[in-house]
Amino acid sequence: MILTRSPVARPIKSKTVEFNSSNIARLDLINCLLANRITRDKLAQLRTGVNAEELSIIIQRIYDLNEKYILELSAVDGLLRRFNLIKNNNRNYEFDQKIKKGFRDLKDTKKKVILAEGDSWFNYPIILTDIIDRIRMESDFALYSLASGGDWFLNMLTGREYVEELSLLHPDVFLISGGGNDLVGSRRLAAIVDPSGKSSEFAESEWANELMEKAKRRACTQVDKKKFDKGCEYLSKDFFALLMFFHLQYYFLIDSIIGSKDKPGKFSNIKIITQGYDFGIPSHALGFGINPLKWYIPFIRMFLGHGGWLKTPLQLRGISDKNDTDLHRKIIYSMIYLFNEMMIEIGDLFAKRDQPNVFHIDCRGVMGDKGWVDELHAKPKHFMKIGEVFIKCITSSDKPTYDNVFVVTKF
Amino acid sequence: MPWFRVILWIGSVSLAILLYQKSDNFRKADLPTISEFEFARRDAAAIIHFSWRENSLLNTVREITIYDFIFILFYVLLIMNCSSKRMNLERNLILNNLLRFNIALAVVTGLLDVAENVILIRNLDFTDHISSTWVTILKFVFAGWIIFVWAVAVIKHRISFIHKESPNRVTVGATLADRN
Repeated sequence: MILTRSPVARPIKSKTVEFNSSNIARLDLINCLLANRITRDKLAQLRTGVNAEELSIIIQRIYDLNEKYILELSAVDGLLRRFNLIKNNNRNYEFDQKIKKGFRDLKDTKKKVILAEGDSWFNYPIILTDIIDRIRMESDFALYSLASGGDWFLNMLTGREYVEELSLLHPDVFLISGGGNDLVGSRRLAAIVDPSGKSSEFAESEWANELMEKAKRRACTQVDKKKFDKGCEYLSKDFFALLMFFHLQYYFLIDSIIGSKDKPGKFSNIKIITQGYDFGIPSHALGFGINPLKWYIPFIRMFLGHGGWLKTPLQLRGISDKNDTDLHRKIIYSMIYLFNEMMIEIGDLFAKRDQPNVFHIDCRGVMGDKGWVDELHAKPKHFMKIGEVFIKCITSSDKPTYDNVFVVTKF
Repeated sequence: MPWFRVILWIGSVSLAILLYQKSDNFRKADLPTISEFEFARRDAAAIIHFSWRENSLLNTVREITIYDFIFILFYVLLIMNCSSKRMNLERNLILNNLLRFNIALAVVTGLLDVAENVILIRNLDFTDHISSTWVTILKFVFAGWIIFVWAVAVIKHRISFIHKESPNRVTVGATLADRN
């Protein structure tokens, strides 16, 4: 999701957005969303016709920052930006070479042109083999990457780099991985938890409850209810507002790509594949061991931000795990569980519109306790395993586990 | 090819050629080379040192060592870059991990080479020689291992590529035969 970044920007005077009588009703919906008191129907109402300006208002209110500062905060800069560029340049050079050799053959359905936008799960610029690296190993794929380690989903949407590349490449598949940095980047996690441990915000969210009801009905992905409920006691209304914001963002992004059934977009046949991370482990441990082949774990943990995304923000808010050593993990469990369910619902919504183009790769539970390099990133073995499931989804060689969802642990 | 790797290849090859040419002075004078000095035990190293001084080659040794420091920088970065690139093409997990290990090993090899050069420069000014034999042996073992892993990965990749390509050739051939 993120490597490390220190924003140096200062808040700039906010741009005021004026509302007229015609959109006062929508502002009410936004207020309800921000208060986590929005009904499912009203969320659907807000989702229909959501635009960039409304998304901007919501995020400014969730983060209590003006848009310019949020964008500066979310921008990838410094050494990280350079490393991202080097890796993407290498990838895209090879993409160009393939195309020059006549890779694209519209009659050959095996050959796929893929566009990838995302964060460090798609572009971990040094040492690790990430998901996109594994996908690129397939000779039948030509993959163009816009992914950047440390990138926020918000930044991807406002940067709109993917729009230009979609128009130029007309890819068969669009891969997107985003949201992780918006949740935990720049210690934002501290702002979306309730340290009292008495939060009832989950119960207040009709939408989140329905997501979990659907999840419980599924036999293949059983939720650990005790863990989930305990974690939810620490989630504030801002977390649910952010989750609904992601929901709107993803809907807005996909809708603008594929269009509706009546008014198909330019890319109505494109396959869109998302992923929703695994349950990260909050920790400050440096991970020293005797296996020399795992030299990179302490190296990454020492220099690339480990502990600062999950553990420190929770400690910052005084959430102690002295009495319950797993408490921090339970909070992350609830967050990631809901994040994935939110993503799965996005696919469902489009499938119900008779546009079954949106697939989700469910990575929950893949890494277990020992599969992590740091708080957020998997060992290459697991990234490669997830990449293989992406390949199955792209080639349609295997059927989804259910609906449009590929559960990695089932492959 | 990405420009950074091109620069590293050009730099490394140019410096290797330069170092080889500079070492020609020793071969022409029929004297032991720097590598032989580095491998030599204490007594033998003292004799080599004496022979260089007699033939006024100590400054050449210092000059070569300075170029070698630059060469170390280039080859370490090159190994890291090439191993990283190869690693991200390698789907076999063992080879993938070994190529990742090459990145760390490149740094260790470079540090050993630096240590070896520092010992060499120090030995040129003192009569009580410090042996760098084990440092040199370890350096070459690591460098050999890096090249071995890299070569296995490249050969494996080529073989799998040829293997993947061959059915296509058969298909094309068959199609032409069918047409005829």
